[in-house]
Amino acid sequence: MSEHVIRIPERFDFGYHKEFTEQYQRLLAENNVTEIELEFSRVGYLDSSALGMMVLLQKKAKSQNVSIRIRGPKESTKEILQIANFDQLFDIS
Amino acid sequence: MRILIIEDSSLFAEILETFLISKQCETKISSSLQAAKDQLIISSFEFILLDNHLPDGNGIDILPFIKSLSCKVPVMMVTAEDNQALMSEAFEKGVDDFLVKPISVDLLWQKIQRCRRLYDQSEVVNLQTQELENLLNQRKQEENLARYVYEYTTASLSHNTQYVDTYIQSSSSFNGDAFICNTAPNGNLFAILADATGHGLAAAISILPLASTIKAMIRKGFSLAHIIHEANKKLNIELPDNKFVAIIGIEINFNKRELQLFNGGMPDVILLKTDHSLERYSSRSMALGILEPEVFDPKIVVVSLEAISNLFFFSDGLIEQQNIAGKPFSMHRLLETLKRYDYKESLVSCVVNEFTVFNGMAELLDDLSICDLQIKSLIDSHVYNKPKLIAANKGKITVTLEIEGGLIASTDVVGYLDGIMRSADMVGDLRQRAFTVFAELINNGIDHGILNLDSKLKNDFSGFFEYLRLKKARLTELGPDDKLSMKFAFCPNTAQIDFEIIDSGQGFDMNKDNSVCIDGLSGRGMDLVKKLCKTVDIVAPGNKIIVNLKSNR
Repeated sequence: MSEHVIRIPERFDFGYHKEFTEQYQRLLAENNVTEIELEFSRVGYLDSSALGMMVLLQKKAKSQNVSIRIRGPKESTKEILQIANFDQLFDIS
Repeated sequence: MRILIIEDSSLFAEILETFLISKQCETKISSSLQAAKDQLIISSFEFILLDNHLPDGNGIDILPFIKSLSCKVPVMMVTAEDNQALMSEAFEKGVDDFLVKPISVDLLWQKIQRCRRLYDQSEVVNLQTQELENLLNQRKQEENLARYVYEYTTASLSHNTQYVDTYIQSSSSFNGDAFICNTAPNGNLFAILADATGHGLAAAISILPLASTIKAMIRKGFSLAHIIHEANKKLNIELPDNKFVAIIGIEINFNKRELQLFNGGMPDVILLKTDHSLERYSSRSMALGILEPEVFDPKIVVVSLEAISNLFFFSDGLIEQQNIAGKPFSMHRLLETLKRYDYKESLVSCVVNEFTVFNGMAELLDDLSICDLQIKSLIDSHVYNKPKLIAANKGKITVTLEIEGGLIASTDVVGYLDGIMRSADMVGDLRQRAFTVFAELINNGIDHGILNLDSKLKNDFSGFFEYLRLKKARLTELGPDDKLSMKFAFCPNTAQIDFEIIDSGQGFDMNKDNSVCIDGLSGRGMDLVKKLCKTVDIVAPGNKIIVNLKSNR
C-alpha cells in the first residue's frame, strides 16, 4: 500500500477548503486507499470551518472503509482538536 | 616592423634599409647617438640595430638610455669589431644579440625575428602576470568583504549560553557549519547545528542566509517544526540542486520537561543518560533543500528530559576525519570516548582531546563542529532563573478596527490581528488560541450577523454546499450599512487578551441550542470559543460579543 498523506499548511481555515477537498477527493477516488494521513506538524492555526471540513472527510472516508489519521499536531493544535472531541473521531498520533 | 638603424656609414645603412624594406619593415636611419636619442623620444620602434663606432661616441653608451624607455625594444649590435670584451660588456648593458660585419642578411633577418618573438612572448607573459595580480587583488578584496559579513553574521548567531558547549574548527577560512543557540520568547531553548555540502566559502554562502532566518524565527517564537519547514522551503528555492544542508534541531521545553529533536542528514545525536548508558537518534529525514515543500515531512522525535545528563551532537567532519595513517576517527571511537566519560572535565574538551591526539598533525578535511548540551544543568538553572519577561512592565497594546462594505469579504482581519500579536512578542500558544477565537467570532459575525445565513443549512452535505453558495453570493452584495467593528487589547504582564466584536446584523440567540453533535458538520464554533476563552459575554440582541483569553503558561 502506498502512503496517502495530505500535508496541511500552517493556517488551516476556510481558505484551504478548495485545495483540501480536491486532495481528498482525488485520494478517495483511488481504489487501493485504506488509510489517509493528515500531516499536521505545520498547523498553528485552526478554526471550526477546518473542523467541519475534517468531519466531512471523515464521513466520506468511512462510507468507503477508509480510516483517517491525524499525525504530529503541535500542543496548541492538539488542544483545539481535543476541545472539539476529535480524539473520539480520529486516530491522533 | 618599425626598425631604427643607428649607423654612420651611409652605404651600409642603405644596404640594411633596402633589405629590411624588402621584408616589409619600416626603417629610420640615425647616423649619430644624439640623432638616435631624438628619434627614440619622438617615435617608437620595435627593433634597433646598433653600430658601435659613431661620430659622437660608442654605440654601447646609448644602451642605458634605450633600456630606460617605457617601451621595451630589442637591440642588436652590428659592428666590425670582433672583440670578446666588447661583446661581453654589450650583453651586460642589455644588448639582445650581436652580429659581426661583414654580415649575412639572411642570418640578420633570422636573428631579428627570433629576438622580436622573445620580446613578444615576454610581453604577453608580463600582461598575463599583471592581470593575474589584479585578479588576485580583487579576489582578496572580495574575500575580505565576505569574511567581514560572515564574521558579523556568525558572531551574532549564538549567545554565550551557560551549559551549552561548542567546539568549531574550520578546514579553511570560511566555515560551512553553523551553530545557532537562542532562547525563544516562551523560554524554550533552541540549539541548531547546520552543515552545508562542501566546505569553504561556497558552503558558508549556503548557510549564512539560512542561519539568519532561523535566528529570527526563534526570536519570533516559531516552533521547531515550523522553522525546519521554512528552512527547507527557503533552501529548496535558493540553493542549486546539488547543494543542500544537513541539520540537527533541538527545542528544549523546560516546563514540559521534554525536548523535540530533528535530525535531517546528520550523524546520530547521542544522549548520555544519568545511568551512563548511551541512546542514539539517527537521521530520519532528508537534509534540507532537497525535497519540495509539499512532500517534505520532518520526523520530529519527542524525548523526555528525565534521566538525561548530556545531549551530544556533531558534524560528520568529526568521525570522518582521517589521521596520517588514513584511519577515520569513526563513530566507534567516539562512542568509546563517550562511554568512558567521567564528568570530571567538560564533555566537549574530553572529545576534542581524544580527537587531537588521534589526528596528530593531519590536515582537517572538512569543517568540524561539536556541541554538548548539559541537559541536567540546564534544567536546574532554569528552575532558579525564571524568565525575566514577567517582572518587567511591558505595557499594553489596543487596536480598534472597523470595516464596512465589500472589504468585509476580502480583508484578512485575522491575519492582521495575528501580525499585531506577533509584533507584540506574544507567546505561541496564546496567539494560536486567539487566532481560532478571532476566526470563529469574525466568521460568526459575517455569516450569521451580516449575511444572515442559517447555520441549520449546514446539517447535511448538500446543505453545506448550498450554504457556501449563498455565502459567496451574499458577499458580493455587501453595502455601506454592513459593518464589522472590533476592539483588541493585549497586556503582556497579565498575558491576557480582551476582544470585542460588533456586527451590523440583527443579532441572534447564540445560547438557544449549543448542544453540538460530535460528528456534526457545523455548530462547533461557539463551543470552541467558550472553551478557549476565560470569559465570553454575548450582549443582546446577540450582535456583540466580548471575550477574554489568558495564556496557559
